[in-house]
Amino acid sequence: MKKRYITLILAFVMVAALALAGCGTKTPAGGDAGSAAAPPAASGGSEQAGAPGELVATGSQSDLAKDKIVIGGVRSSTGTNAIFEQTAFGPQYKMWVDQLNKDGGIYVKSLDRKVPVELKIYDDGSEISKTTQLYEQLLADEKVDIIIAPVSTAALFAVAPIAQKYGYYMVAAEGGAKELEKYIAQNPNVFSVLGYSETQVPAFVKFAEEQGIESVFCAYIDDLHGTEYWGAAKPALEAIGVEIKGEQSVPLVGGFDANAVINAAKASGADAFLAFTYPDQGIPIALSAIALNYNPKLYLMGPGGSYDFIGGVLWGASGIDPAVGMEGVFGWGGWNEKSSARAAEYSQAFREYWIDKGDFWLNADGTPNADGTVYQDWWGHASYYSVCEIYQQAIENAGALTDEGLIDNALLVEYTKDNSFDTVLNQELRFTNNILLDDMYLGNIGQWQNGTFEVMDVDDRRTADPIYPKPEWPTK
Amino acid sequence: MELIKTAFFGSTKSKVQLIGVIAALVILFLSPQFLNTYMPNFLAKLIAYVVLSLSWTIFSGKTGYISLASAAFYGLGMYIEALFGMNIPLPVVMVFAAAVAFAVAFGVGVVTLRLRGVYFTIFTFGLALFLQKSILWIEVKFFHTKGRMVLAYSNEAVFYCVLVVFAILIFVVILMNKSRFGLALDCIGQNEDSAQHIGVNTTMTKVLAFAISAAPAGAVGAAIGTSIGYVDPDIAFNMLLSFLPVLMAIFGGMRSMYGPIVGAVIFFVLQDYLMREYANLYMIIFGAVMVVVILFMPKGIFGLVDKAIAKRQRNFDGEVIGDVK
Amino acid sequence: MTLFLTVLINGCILGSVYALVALGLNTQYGVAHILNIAHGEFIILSAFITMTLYAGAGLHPLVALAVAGPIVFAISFVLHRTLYKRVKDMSANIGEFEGNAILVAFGIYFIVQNLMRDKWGSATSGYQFMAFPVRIGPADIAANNLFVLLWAVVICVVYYLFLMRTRTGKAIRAAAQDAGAAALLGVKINTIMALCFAIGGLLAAFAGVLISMKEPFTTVSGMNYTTIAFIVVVLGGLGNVKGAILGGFILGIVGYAVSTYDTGMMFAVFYLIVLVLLIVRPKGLLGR
Repeated sequence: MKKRYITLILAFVMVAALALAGCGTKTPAGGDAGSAAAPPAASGGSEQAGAPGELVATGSQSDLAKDKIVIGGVRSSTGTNAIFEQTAFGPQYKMWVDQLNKDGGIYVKSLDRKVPVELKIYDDGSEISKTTQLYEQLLADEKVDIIIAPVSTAALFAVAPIAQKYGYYMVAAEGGAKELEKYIAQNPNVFSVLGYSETQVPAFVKFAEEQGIESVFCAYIDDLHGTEYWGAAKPALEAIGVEIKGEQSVPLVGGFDANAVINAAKASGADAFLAFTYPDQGIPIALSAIALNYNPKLYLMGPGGSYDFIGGVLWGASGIDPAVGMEGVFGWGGWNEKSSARAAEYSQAFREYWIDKGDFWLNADGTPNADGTVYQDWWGHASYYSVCEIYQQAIENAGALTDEGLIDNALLVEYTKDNSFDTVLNQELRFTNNILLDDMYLGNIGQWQNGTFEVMDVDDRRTADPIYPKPEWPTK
Repeated sequence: MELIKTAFFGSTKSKVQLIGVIAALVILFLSPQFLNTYMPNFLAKLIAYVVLSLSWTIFSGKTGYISLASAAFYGLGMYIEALFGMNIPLPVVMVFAAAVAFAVAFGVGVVTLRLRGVYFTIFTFGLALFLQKSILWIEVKFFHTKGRMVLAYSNEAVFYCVLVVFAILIFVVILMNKSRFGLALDCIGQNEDSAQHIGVNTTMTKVLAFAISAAPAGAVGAAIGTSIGYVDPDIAFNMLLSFLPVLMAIFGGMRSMYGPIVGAVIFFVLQDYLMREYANLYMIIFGAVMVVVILFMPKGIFGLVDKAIAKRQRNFDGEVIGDVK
Repeated sequence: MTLFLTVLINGCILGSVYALVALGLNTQYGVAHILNIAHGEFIILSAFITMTLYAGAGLHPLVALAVAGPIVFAISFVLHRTLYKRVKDMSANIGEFEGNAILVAFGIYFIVQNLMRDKWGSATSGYQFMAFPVRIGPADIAANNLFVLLWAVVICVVYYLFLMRTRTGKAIRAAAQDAGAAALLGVKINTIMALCFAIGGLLAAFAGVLISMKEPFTTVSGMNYTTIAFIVVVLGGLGNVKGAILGGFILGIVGYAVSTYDTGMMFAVFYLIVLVLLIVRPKGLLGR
């Protein structure tokens, strides 16, 4: 009696789950299940215009209705990557979309008019299995017009094949790694904008050579970033005769004792201390270095070292001006308002926009910043905003609708491969094999000097003379 | 053979059950024909949760030893797929992953199942972290990388792979419930000492059950790994997945095998919805549900259903008619 | 020799914090039989309270002992009186209770962690306090670290004396040995259990205040400390107070020694220790 009842419930639940699941968009039954997902872009574009490039000339769709362009994305608003989303990427996309809509939307070439933009963002809680599932949903089920990338290099690896599978165009600055080249080669719809070891490590090696650094100690994070950077830097430094006095891995997950790192570095007596770590590890290590008064001639703080807020975290409650505290510390990336007129213009616009909004960043206790401080990132921000500009210019110059009434992503891919973009990073930004070569960047290595992150590359991008050796950590 | 006969055809109940299960599996098997390309992806993950929850119940539900190792076996499977998936077809890797999970669980069981339950819980809790750290360390030191690219399969392929695991698991569970082995596990759960007195080899029974419960987790881990595209130790070993099966099983109710299944379905759908719409709240709600479930519905949804039925029968006839259990 | 001394001193500093963290968990488990997975969350909560008082109101971090301590004590007491008491009454035997209590603790872990994340975000937080080196023999030690060592030892000693010398302490020890017998002798067992759970919370709060002085923290780093506490507790013996203190210091010294070679290996080695211990001596170093 009982069992039968339960079996019925089970059958009912399963059927209900299926019905619930299916009530979205049902494809006609009997179709070839394996390839049912015709990429929205792959088929659509070419029939309106013989070849993608021609559309610009021939395919006017100005009579078609299109009341909004939906930009889908899965972002890590919560979880371990939330800090990057909150300070680095999120503010760019929000500002961009806000400004676009203030002007009536984004101009679409084939429609010859502006169409309002809507951001459709899901949160993955920094869990990649969730990220991929939600992208599947955005692309296969909800069919957004275009997508932006997920937050973190690993997520980018995971999502690139999905974007490719459904024929979507993706420009990412959310991650940078040598390994990404491999993924991009297999998924040519994906473009990457952020600098990585290939551009940054040589910049440091050149700097070391210029300043005559004789030995280094490295603490690298035990994930892709740390192993890649140290894997590239170690042989390159050895090749120019720099002695490796010691190396340590620092865990991405789980606690560690920063004193041990600093004491080992101190005992090694190396000229330069390199922390190829994220802020979660870099901050404890730096605080330990300050407390143990460890003053190597060069102190490099990996990703995060170029963030404005790092100074605030390290020196906030000490009574010492963060600008003084950070004097001479190195970090990756590098651009500032002296880099170019375009960079200065963007930087000021960014600050004005977020000061006006007033909720860019919250204090540690959750209250909004009273002084309206907007913290900028002098590695990534220029790249992140350039991504927005690339999307915009691609649509402005090659935007067209598919038969389904969605933005034709194949055309955007074609356009991006063949054309240059006017961006903050570079006024003639051009992709080579879907990534950027070194000369597209405003700088690869920088140093804090009097509150400004000065570009230190050994070429004409340098914005100030280096301070070497680094001054001692200040005391009250 | 005798066992199969009694388990599946022994009584009207078991025949009805068999028909119901087969019908449900057939519906699931045909479902991709009627759905869009996304749904198989969704369903594959849903069934993976069901498998985790049901396989957890095989051991922990019966014996009362709370295992927090689901994430370890699931992650192990995922990482095995990441290591070998490029060259070996998925079904083969899944069998291998199941075997490895079985072997690891067997080893862990031999070491820890002699001890009191709380040591077992602590140890299994640490297992996922230990595997994560160790694999990470090996990858970084010897392969100078962190994770690996995984060959992507179509959503349908992953769905069918997971469905097969689920089908096998559900028949194994039905068989186990009718077998001496299942009976021995029940005895251990009720009173381990007396189980020993009546001649049950308790340690061996526990170890074997734990190992059996690990295998499906390994297999679905391998399958789901292909839907991610890139797997590293941090992605593969997700601690939340150690607790979710426990919660889903208790939420559904562990007295019958349908409890964990229903619990997993409800939880997965709920999670999927909350995560998308109220991400900030999701984890808090998750925690609160956990507390409430343990405190107020320790027998799960099925326990509540039992209670409701019991009450109605009493009210209808004016008195309790027999044992409604 | 220099290396040996450096490892010893730094290891003791690390160990003193480990001991304090484990002591709280052990008190909760030893008497109340709750393996509190949310332990680390209360450590982090206290660290944030300390930082707010220090950076916001300019109060000395030690003041936070008197603020965070009572807050967490009260929360823990109420949690036991409401949730855990009910779970205890429902459970058929101690094994079932332990299992259910872990799950309830996990629910609380999620609630507390995410409430904190809503309030304080997920960025690394920290502040400079006594951030200058002191020379001890061959080694430079951060002043804040020595300060933390001192206070951790003081708290451990005071707690030990409390257990050994006071009436309540004796009742706690009796309850830890045999709850049933203690109840027969007139110990109010439910009150003692709630008290022990709350004392565990108090020790977690103290640990959090001290930890915030020496290292930065995030709203999601609580589990690191819980894990450490688990390992120490297994090392020293479940429910054994002396074992927790000894285990904490041993683990601290081993941890620092490993970290000198490679920081990233520390946790892997810790798990290895637990693995070996469970095979060789499951009752822990001092367990009976």
